[in-house]
Amino acid sequence: MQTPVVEGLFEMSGGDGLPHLLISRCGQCGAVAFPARKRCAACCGTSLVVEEAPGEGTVYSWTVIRELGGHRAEFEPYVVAQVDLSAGLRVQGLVDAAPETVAIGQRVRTGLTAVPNAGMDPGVVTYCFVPAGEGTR
Amino acid sequence: MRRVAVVGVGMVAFGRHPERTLGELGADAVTEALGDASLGWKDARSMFCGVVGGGMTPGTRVGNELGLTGLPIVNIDNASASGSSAFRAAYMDIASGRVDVSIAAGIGKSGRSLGDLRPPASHGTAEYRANLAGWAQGAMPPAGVFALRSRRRMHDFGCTIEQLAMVAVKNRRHASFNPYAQLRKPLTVEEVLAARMIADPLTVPHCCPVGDGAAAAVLMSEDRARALGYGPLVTIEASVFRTPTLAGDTESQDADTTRLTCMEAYAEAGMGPKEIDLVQVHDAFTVEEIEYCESMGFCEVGEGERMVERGEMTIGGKIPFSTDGGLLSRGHPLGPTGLAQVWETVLQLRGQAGNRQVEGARAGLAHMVGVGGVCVIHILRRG
Ligand SMILES: [Zn+2]
Repeated sequence: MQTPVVEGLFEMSGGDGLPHLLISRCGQCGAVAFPARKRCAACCGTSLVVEEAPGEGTVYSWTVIRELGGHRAEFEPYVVAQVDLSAGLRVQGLVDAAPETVAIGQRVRTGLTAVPNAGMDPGVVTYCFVPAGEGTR
Repeated sequence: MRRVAVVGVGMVAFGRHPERTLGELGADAVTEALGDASLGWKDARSMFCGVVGGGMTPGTRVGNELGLTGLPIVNIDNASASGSSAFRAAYMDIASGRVDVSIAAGIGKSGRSLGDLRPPASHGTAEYRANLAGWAQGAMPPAGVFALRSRRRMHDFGCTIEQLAMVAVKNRRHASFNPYAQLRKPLTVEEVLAARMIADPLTVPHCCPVGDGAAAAVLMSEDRARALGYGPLVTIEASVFRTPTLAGDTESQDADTTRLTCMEAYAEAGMGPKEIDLVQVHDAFTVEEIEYCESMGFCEVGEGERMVERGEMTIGGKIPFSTDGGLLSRGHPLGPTGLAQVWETVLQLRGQAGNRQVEGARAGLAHMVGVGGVCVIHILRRG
């Protein structure tokens, strides 16, 4: 049984076992945002609807976090990327792949992964990105 | 609005001061600034103190150290831009005509390190949920954010890791001439590349040290300063503060906000980049100095790394940046950093910067951005 680490970021109800990121779309100006917002950052409008984001995108940039304050001992490095899912929708998330296989411009899709370094139950999962065309772990 | 001058600056060297409290550090910097202005604590009519965290009313404790004169003291927390925000508040208090003498102070002691994102123990609270959401999206220390920007810049403009390292090397060299800087031992590009990796491609010297320190400035109405015969007099030509909009046209929100803030500052000062002789910039990470050099109009977007490589941002070059060592080497105790920039700019404009003096400096720009989206720019001029 896999439990999302926090409510409201993604849903796993699609029957395909994959996470679907939840974004907001402004009813006034069309601006999209992730995580979903209550008020539009672009026009300050308040009529926003929540919808599912595309499940595939392109790596905009990436890094490997090797240190985090208070975590230097027994720290598990992790890969983080910014991924462009559609026009104006750049999302940050963990990447479940070896650093040497990640590159700017690479096609990725959403998957699920454990939350590194947070001391959580392994059944607690978050969305991540994996190279498109690979199976989920 | 009245015109305002800076008549005194003071600093406590950035580094480690475990034996002194925030209040004591601040009092030392304020006392030095007042001494520089030949004034006493009783002459101050208000004080604004930039500080990040530090418990309740840390700036008020600076005042308690110096004596209970009853003046208003306001604490300002605007992340990295706290000291710059305090400077602007003191400027406004005088420009508005309310007071003739005001102090801007900044204090900082390194505590819990930046980027410590451990979820707090109390489940079910809003803070706990926010922290989990942070972890869920790939917890990012500040170095991670700028690692993403560095790698993308390398992809977009062919910037090399060596060119980024040159910013750290240049600013360390400037710091070697500044006895108040936290890191003064000269550094080579090879040493930067070989250092411990924090967030690929950034090693330790690409990231600023966060230590302890304090800095202060004494501000006075220009009329009063002229009547008292201060000279050479340094005046404030622009004081501009912005938060972000979504109207940016580059890939970096900080760079976009810097560009908009800088355009306002140039308009307020009636100056352009050609009239600026030196710049203190928020170089918490090497890529920032390159980005903001472009945002400030000193070169085209995509040219910044070549400016650094050609030595144009070095003391003696076309437009020296971070002449005191910058955040990367002078250090960045958060609260006082913006006022260390004012300290450096004032010394440079007075011609008192010793062996790091920018020859003939007449106008200087000081720039800070802060987490959450703040940008503060001041332009100072030798009157
Ligand atoms: Zn909108």
